[in-house]
Amino acid sequence: MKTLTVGFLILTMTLGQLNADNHSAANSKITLNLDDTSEVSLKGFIAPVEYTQYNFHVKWDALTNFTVAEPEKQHPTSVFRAFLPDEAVAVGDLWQVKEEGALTLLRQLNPNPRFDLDINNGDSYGLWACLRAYNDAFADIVFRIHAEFVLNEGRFTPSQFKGHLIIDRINKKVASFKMYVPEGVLNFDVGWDSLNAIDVGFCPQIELRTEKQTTLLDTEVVASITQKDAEREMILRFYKSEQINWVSLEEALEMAPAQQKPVHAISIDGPLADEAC
Amino acid sequence: MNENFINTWVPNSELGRVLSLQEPIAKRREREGTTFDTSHALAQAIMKGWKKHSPADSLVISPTFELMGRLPVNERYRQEPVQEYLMFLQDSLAGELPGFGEDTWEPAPLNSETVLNGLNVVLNDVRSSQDVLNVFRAPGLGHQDYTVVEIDATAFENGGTLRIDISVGHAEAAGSFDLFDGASELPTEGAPENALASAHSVPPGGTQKITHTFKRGQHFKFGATGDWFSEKGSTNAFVAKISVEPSQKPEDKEGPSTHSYQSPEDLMNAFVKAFKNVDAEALRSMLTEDAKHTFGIEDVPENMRAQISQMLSQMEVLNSEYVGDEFHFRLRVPAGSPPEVSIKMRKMGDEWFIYEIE
Repeated sequence: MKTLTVGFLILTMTLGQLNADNHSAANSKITLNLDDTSEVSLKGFIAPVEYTQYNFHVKWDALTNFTVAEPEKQHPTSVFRAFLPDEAVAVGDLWQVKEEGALTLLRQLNPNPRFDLDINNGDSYGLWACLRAYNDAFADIVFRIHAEFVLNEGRFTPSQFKGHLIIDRINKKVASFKMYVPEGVLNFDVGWDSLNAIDVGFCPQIELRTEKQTTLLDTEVVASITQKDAEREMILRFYKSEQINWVSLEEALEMAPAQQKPVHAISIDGPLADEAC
Repeated sequence: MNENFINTWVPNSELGRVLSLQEPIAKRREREGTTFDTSHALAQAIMKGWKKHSPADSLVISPTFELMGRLPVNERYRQEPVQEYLMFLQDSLAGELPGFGEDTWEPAPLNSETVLNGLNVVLNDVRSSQDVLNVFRAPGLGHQDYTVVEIDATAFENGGTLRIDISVGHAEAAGSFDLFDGASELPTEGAPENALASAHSVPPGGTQKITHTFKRGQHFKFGATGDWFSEKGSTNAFVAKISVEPSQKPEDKEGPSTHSYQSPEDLMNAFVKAFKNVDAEALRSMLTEDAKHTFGIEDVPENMRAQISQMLSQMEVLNSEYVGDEFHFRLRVPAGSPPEVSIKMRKMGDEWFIYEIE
């Protein structure tokens, strides 16, 4: 298993290198299909909450006992069509993930997912996918989904669900899938209705994934964009504030004196660019 | 924004601004082998610009990392939020220092700080009060399920009066609160007989106060739990404002504990008054050193003090007399066991002290 995972990482690096020599095909559109009738096994993980600001993870049973609903489940391949575009797309194109398929997968983590978030300033809703890279054999779709789980007496709102779906284009089946809540100093927000109170915290692992990753070492890429660029395209569909070029504190530390520009800094309780706030 | 500024944002918790998250984040970083540098000039400028209690602050900082302007989140979004924010940025660049002259948040806060989350409270001469917000759960009849707040009052070498003002939230459960010595094991069932002071069955929305006088710096544990009659498992929030009024230094002390009694009658009257007021500290101060070790005069829980004081209001001196160099008197204590108390005092140097109570 370890070998396969390493192989996939090497593929990702290879895709990038090959793409550097092959810009001409970047705008070609392709059609993505999943017609295979086999099932896809996904493993689900929810680790115990590590910390919260107000100790809700100790005092609130629903959060203390927040675990994965189904640690392993077989899904028909058709469920993953929710992540495919209806029309031909080029690298860097975005489209909306269909809700029902995403809900089916999220229910493996928790039986009560929803996309209409309890706290929404008008920019929280969204399920976006982007074609990051492809060749004749495979296509790499990345996505970002905002969803939350309804708990007994409250809700659990992850910062986001990000991930990738790699399609075997020849056999039209799922080669690899992973959907997870990324790490961050805080990566979820909760609301405890009976106290009318909210809290934030960190959960080390909330994840759905296929156990096996396809070995793609010899594959040649036709076109690609970086993961970072794909993520930026998607986040722009959510937050207007992301039109500002935010940099890390360390980058700002170097850039301000070098460019002789003042720093516009925001020090904030929750993350600025996701729903864990 | 992109043309005129280098833009950055940082979670408060990364910079240690959220006290309750400092420890778990430090543990996580240690486990993961990661660090977050808060020592550099930009991080320091941001921290210097924090406004007390503000959940988010916008700051403008010069290329040499000097603060140029500050706008706390709760002071914006009024009528013209976009125009206001633009004005804040423009004023900052124009050198008008918007937001300056107001309080800034201190990493080591001063006086009466609000700690909205922490379960560790450290009090000292500089920071003599903190607020704690947390939750408790009802344990079911006969049990305790304490949310424990550790209180460090060791900085008060000469002791003082610990005061805890409690407010219970408006959710289902009523709360019971007990103060323990820092070395005590907190009970999980039965009455908290080793509590120094208590406030029980505080209803939702209710308030209560606990006070405890201590003679020298020490640790305490403050336990919050649902009361026995609330539905098991039901919860509620509470706020505890924890403060210490320090005792005066011995040479500066005033009041009963430092009064010197030049006559036995003065001491008798002071003793009766302190007894009626259930003032254990004052009573202890009237004893010889030997007597202090012989007789335990315990502090009375705050919630029982008024009731006891009312009972003792009818207490009276039955008789008094000089016996050689000593002075003896007898008290009738309503509902006391025994109903009468004999007190003996003698002169030590120029002052009178009580050496026996029976």
